[in-house]
Order: sequence, then structure tokens, then C-alpha cells
Amino acid sequence: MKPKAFFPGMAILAFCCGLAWAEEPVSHERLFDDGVRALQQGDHNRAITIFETLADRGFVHPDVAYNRGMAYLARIRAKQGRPGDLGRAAAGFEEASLVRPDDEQAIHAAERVRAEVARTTARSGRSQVVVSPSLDRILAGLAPEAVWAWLALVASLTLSTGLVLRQRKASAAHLAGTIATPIGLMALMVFASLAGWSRHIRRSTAPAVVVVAEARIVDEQGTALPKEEPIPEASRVEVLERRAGLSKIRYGQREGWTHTTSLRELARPRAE
Amino acid sequence: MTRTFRFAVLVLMAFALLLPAPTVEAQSRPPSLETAVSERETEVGRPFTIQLSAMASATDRTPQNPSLPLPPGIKIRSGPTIMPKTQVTLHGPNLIQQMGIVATWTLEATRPGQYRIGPPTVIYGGKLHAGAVVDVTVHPPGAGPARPRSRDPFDIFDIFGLPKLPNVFDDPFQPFAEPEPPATDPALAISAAPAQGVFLHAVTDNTSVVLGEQLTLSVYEYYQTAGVRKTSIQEPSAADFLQFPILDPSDDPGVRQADVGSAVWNARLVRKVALFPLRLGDLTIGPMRIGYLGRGLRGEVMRESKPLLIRVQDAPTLGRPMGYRSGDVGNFSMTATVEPRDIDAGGGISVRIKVEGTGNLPSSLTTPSKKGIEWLDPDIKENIEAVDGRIRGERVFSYIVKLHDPGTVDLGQIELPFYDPQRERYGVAKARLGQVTVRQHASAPEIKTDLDRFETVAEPRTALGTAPRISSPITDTLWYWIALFASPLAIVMGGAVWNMAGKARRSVTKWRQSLGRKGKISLQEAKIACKQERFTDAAAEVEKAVHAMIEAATAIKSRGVLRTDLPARLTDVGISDAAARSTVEVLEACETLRYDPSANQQQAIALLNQATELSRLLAVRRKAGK
Repeated sequence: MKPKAFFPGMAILAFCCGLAWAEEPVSHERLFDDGVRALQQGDHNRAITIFETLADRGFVHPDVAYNRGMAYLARIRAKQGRPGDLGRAAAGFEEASLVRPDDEQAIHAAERVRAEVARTTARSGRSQVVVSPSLDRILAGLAPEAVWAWLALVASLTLSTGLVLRQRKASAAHLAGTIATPIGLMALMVFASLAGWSRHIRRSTAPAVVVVAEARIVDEQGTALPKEEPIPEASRVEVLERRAGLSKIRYGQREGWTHTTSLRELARPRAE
Repeated sequence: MTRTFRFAVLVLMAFALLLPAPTVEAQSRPPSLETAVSERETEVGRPFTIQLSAMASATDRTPQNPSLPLPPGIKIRSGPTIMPKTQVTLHGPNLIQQMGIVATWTLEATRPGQYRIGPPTVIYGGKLHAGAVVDVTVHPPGAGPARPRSRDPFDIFDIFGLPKLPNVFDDPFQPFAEPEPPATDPALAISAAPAQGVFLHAVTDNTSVVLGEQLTLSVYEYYQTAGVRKTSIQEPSAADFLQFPILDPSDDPGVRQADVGSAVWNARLVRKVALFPLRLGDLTIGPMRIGYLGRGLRGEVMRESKPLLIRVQDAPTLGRPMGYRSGDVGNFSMTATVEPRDIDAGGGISVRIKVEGTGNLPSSLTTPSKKGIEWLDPDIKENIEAVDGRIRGERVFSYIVKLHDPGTVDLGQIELPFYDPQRERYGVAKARLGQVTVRQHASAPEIKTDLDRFETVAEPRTALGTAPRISSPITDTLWYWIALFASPLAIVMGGAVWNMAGKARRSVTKWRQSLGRKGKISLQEAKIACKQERFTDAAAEVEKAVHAMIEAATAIKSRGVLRTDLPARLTDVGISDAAARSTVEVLEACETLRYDPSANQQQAIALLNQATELSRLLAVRRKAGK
């Protein structure tokens, strides 16, 4: 090697060695495998740490969320549960079913956790909280947003066809158009409203789960409102607004402020 | 020439190599540190001082954050008082300028003994630099050596240590020499006093911290004259912070002088509190309020410090270790003791984990969990104190760990990830717990298993399944809403446009067939005929135009009306007499012109003008009739 080429060559070699020596970030898949191994070995604290790390990294996957719920559940089953573990387990299962809506196991697990919370509440002598959602949430929740969107498109098509057929004079087509036009118009108004409202709820609220024994309702300054009934652990709520450590939430028909640390917001996958 | 030039270049290069590179060297050179102590031997309760002088060559930055670690038995009475210092020395032909600080701590021993104090440290260029350790002997109260008196070099008695004789030449009436003005503390300088007589001034050592990082709140009381007493005290509110008092409110750290505008005021530190933020965001430290009464004040006055805004951010995500919990900020180390190492199954062992260091000591630890190992809730003891303005100490977690399964059990290790704001990087304190031998106990009670309420929940998933493809909702696209409403709207609007077009078409057809238009066309034809000197044709066209315009204006078919009756018919339907007469005249003129072979252009043009004027009159009538 010529002396002129020796030093740059050594520098490049050293740089490459440095790159190879530098610690590579652990992949999501490897972390997931480590978490599963920790769960199988009964090291639920390590499993929780790993699955929470994956969540912190922004890796949204239904199986990761499900196993995170399972890790918290494992700690409870090992009688080492900490306050809020039931809520955190429910949050994992809820997130899994949010990402994969047909995940029956996650839905069932979340129901079991809520049943356990209800049982614990009943045993402690506290009153059960009965929640009835508001009419708009009931209507919008009858079907997914996409269903309302496509029904609105069909209604629009019906209305358009009816309007065209009405132009025909004194014929069966005119009669069909006369019937189809008002039906299409009404259906369009209903379904487009539901699609628009579902979109508004999706974009303006964030789903969250209560991860403390009871989420206390406070006023905008953070002062507790003792007359307001607290929201039980593992309950799913909607976050409407956030402000300096407080979150405005909607629980059934109730709206109020609570401490943000009482909640865990569910991660939603990014659209492709 | 060439050889001379080469020689000159070589000499210049050699000279340049010999010259020092002041900037780079100054930046990289550590500061020179000198440690001094006022007394090597002292007694309990007698204050003594330690002074650290840190001088750096770089003039753009100075050493900062002086710190003095103290052994138990020595406490800070006041300080550190930090004074800036600039030094210029002649080094050969060069003038070397150094800038730095002199930090002074006033200390006091609480019990006798031999102490190693320090080393005092400063931060310079992002690195910690330490001075020298100071050895001090502390005697019991009253047993310490006498303080050395300041000697008068001209006093021969004093030189030889003899007792000083009274000076008979001293003039007892000679006025005292004017004392030198007291040195003011530049750190306490304020541009203007917010109130007269006395006021409060609150400062923090930092306004932007990460969650869990310590900041120190100091409240100073500034006053001009003594003889002012406090009547009421309201502490500053800091609900979003964990608080540790550094200065005991009953302690008096002494009075310092401070420049307030152009005057010198007395400043006394009344509160010094270490604060650890508990949540993120912009947090407020409320004002401290003190009521005063006394000389120079108009009755009882209330003074309050200004509220302070602190921005609290989370520690950086880059390089964050797994398991880091927000708020674990400081610099910690961890040790663990496990005993015994050999037990029967079902028995318990004691695991004692000591976390020590500076900062927000964690209130809980994440313990390793395995099958057959049960960690009971820990007993926590702590010893936390403020040392040199920083909160440091230790917290000991004593666990009872039950081991149910026989065999050699590896307890694993405990980890505490933390963020060190001084070094701006993460660290992990670790303690290995080692192995424990668990023997099978013949008479071990059978473990009663409880009902598992989650047995119907499926097992954890062992592999990552296919994540469902999430597409952007259709309602988030503008085209969806356009398509939804555009097609029916387009049809409705298209129908409306079609109807309007039909109406317009019919109007055009009607207008084309109207008598008024026919009249105008005939007049145009008449003009053309006139230009072509076809006067007969011109007269015929004018007559045709007049009849059409009469019919358009009055609906009277004037061709079938006798010429003599026409004026009366026209006036009956509202045509003025003049117009009616003019109509008859035009018609008669047309008739004359049609059969007059000698008709000329002038006559034809006059007829045309008359007919045009008549058409204007009749058009007015037509519009009025409509």
C-alpha cells in the first residue's frame, strides 16, 4: 500500500469498525420474543417493561397490546398486582381490539377484567356505576363509520337516479323516480349525518381507559369535586381535551375533568 | 530567488509551529484550582471557611456550579458565596488573562474529630474538576486553639508575642477612620427596588428542568434599615413540586449587601427549598408573602415575591433505556445484600437494596419476578439531606422474598434506569442479587391454590400475527363528500338549467315573431331601399312598418280601418292626438310616394325620419301598455 493511501484507508477502516461496534437498536420482533420468553418464565415485571418499551417506541400491534395486558394480568395472578394493574391490563386488551376489531380473545379478556373490577367493587361495598351512553353515541355506534359512509353513498345514488327518472313524463320510470327521490333524500340526510358525526367523534376524541382504582372528577383547576361519582378502574372513556395535567373526559353521558395520570390513552394505528 | 523564497517559507513555518495555539489550548486546558482553608484546627461550633479559586484561560466561559461534599459532622453555615475574579499575568513577552470564580463556604463542625472535607469541585467545559481535599481537626467546644490575632508589624510587643501594653499616645478623642464600604454580592444585585423599605425577591437556579430534576428556590428579604419585624408569613405555594427545605426557617444565614439600583441594601436569605417537579408542563411557584411593621414603614405592610414560572419537560427519548420511569432523575448507585442464601422451601429471605446518590431518589423499585418467587411489599427507610444545596442521601428498601419452589434459584438483578441532567445522559444503576439454595421441606404446608378468575382468558401470543391493514377512512377524503352531494346536486342544477334554456328559447322565438320587431325590420328595409333609390319600395316598407307598430302598440289592425276613422280609433286606445295625426300623415305620405314617379331621396328620407319618430312614440305606448 502506498503511504498516501495508507492513512485514508486506515481512517475508513476505523470508521467501519466504529459503525460495527456501535450498539444496534433491538428490533421490535426481538423485543417481542424477549417479552414472550419473560412471560413464559414468569418474569412478568420484565415482560411488562418490554411490552411498555414497545409501546413507548410507537409500535402499535394487536398482539403486543394483548400480551401487555396478559403481562399485567400475570402479575395480578401471581398475587403481586399493584394498584391500577387491572386497568392497565384492560387498556392492553382494549387497544388490541381497537386495532383488530374482530379479536374475540381480546374482547373476552377485557370483559373478564371488567367483571373482576365489578366484583372487587361489589365486595368492597361501593356502589356499582351504571353507565348509559348518550343517544348520539348509541346511534353512531350501531355500525362502523365506513358502513355509514357507504350507505350514504348508496342513498346519494338512489336520489340521483330518482331525480333523473322524474324527468320522464307519464311513465313507470317517472313513478319510480317520484318514489325514489324522497326516499333517497331522507336516507342521504340520515346516513351522511351519521358518517359525519362518526368522523367528528373519531377525530375530536381519543379512547382511553382508567388505570387507577377510581378516577376522581375534578374541576378545571384540579380541585376535587366530592359530589361527583368517581369512574371505576378499567372503564373506557373518551378524552375530549387536555390541559396541564388534566384531561376532559366523557364517560357515558357525563363529562368532566380528571387527572391525566388516571388514564391511559389507547394507541391507534396509523393509516397506510 | 527561489532558494531564498524557500528558506523564508521554512523559517516562517518553523516560527508558526513554535508559536502556541492559544485558542485551542485555552479551550482544552483544565482550570487551575486552588483550595484554601482558614483554620486547620478548630472547635465545635466555631465557623471556619474553605475557599476554592478556579481560574480558566478561556475568556468566553468561566467555571460554574461550585460544589463541596461534606462528611457527616460538618455542616454549611452559609455559602457558597461566589465572586467573579479576573487575573492578568505577564508570562514572558505575553499577557495572559484568566477569568474565574472564588467560591467560599463557611462551615461549622457539630462534633469533634478528624475530618477530610472535599474535594471542592467546579464544572468547566462540561467536565467536573476537583480541587484538593482539606484535613481539619475539630476539638470539643472550648478546647480548640486560640484564634491568631492580627499582628501589627510595628508593634514590637506583638512581634515577640508579649502582651500588648496600653498605648499612652493614643488619642481617645480621635475620630474613627471611615470604614470601607461593605462589598456587595453581585449575585444579589437588582436593578430597582419594587417597594420601599423592605421587599421580597424570589429566584430559582433554573427555569427549565426535566421531570424529577431538582431546582432550588431561594427567597431573599431586602431591607434598608434594621428595626423591622415580621407580623405574618405565608409560604410560597408549590403544589406541583416535591419539596425539601435546604435552609431551616429558624436558621439565620447572615446578612449580605446587595446593589439595588444605585443604593446598597441588606439582603437576607429567608427561604431555600429544593423542589422536584411532579408533572410536565408550565408550573407556577406561588409568591411568598410576609407582613412587616416597623421603622420607615407606614403601618403594617404586606410584601410578596413575584410568582415564578418553571417549564418542565420529559427527559429526552434518545438513548432512553428500557424500563426508565419518568421522574427518576439524578445520579444513583445501588447495592444489595441477600441473606440467608440457604433456606427451606416456603421460607423467606431478606433482600436489602440501598439506593444512594443525588437527585430525586425513587420511591419504588421494579423487582425481578419469577415463578415461585414472591416479593412482599418493602419496608422503606431513608436518609435524605441537603448537602451543598443539592438533595442527596440514601433510601433503603428491605424486602421479604418468599421462595416456594425448591432448587437453586437465581434471583436475577435489580435495575434502576435514571437520567442524569448534569451529564445529560442516561445511566442504569444495577445490583445483582445472586443465587439462593432452596431446600425441600418435608413438612412444608401444601400451598392452597385460589380460584383463578382469569383462567378463561387465552394464553399470551407467542408470535406476531399479521397486523390488519389500516387504510385511511373514506370520510377523510374530500372526494368522498364531493361525490356524495355532487351527483344529486348536479342533476337538480342540470334540470334547472335545462328548464331555463327552454324558456329562453321560447322567448327568443316569440320575440322574433313580434310585430314590433317586424316593424323595425321593415324600417331597416326601407332605409336600404332608400339608399338604393328604390323609393317606391321604401314607401311600401315604411307603410308595412307603421301598420305593424300600430298593431304592436294598440292591437288595432290598421290596414282594415278607414284612414278617416284611424285617428279616432287610435285616440280611443290612448294614443295622443299628435301621434294619431302623425300616423295618418305618415300613411298618406307613403301612399303618395308609392305612386309618385318623381319622388326623390329627400322626400324618402323625410318619410323615414317621420316614421322613425312615430315608431318611438308607439314603442313608448307599447311599453306603457305592457
